[in-house]
Amino acid sequence: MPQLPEASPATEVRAFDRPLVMVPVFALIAAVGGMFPSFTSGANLLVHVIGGTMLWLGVSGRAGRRPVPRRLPKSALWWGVPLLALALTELWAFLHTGDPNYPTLSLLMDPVLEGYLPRAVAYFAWLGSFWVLVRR
Amino acid sequence: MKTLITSLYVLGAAGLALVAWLSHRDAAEPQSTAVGAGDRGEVVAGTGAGHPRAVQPGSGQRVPRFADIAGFVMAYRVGRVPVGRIAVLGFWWWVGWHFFAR
Repeated sequence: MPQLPEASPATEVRAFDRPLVMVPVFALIAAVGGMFPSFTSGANLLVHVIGGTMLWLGVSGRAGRRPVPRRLPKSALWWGVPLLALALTELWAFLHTGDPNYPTLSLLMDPVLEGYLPRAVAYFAWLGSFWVLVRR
Repeated sequence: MKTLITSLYVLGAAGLALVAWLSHRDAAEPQSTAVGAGDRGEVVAGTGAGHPRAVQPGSGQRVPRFADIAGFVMAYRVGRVPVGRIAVLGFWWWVGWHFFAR
């Protein structure tokens, strides 16, 4: 028996559900978010407003949801290899916190994210993937 | 040591990119290659494209997209509480805060 998708609790297509609408909105938010350096009230406020809104949309199902699989094939384990490698490396570095020879991923990314353009691009990627998760 | 750790991060990221490419390649396979897979119960509901995902030739199984895995985890509930959904979305919220605001 093939595995059928679960019924989607909300399938209505709304204006904010269209990429033509959401991509420019996310680009605008990312352009603004890229202007706030870390450890500022603006950066914290924006991230928490976005996070809270996305969590509410995701839990309430107001943004609609795509079908999800009821079970995963064994080939899904391939995702575990790089994820486990990254997690173990991060854990190894985290256990040596304070030692600059053991940088965590965020420490390595800090100098990259200091520039406006890479920060805005990363912000856009974070928003886009957040939206993908909300729609699942 | 810093070089080793950085290399491990790069390898992990390259591995993620490779698996992501494999999963998207499988999704882009012609639909005809999926014939028969349903009999083995291996085809998982397609997403976005609106048709069943193709099966990776030779292996008998396609690599699911990361969004499929995330959706599977997010479907986990304890009673009426969508624990999986809250955990995954909460984690991604934390990731954004950690990289952009902390």
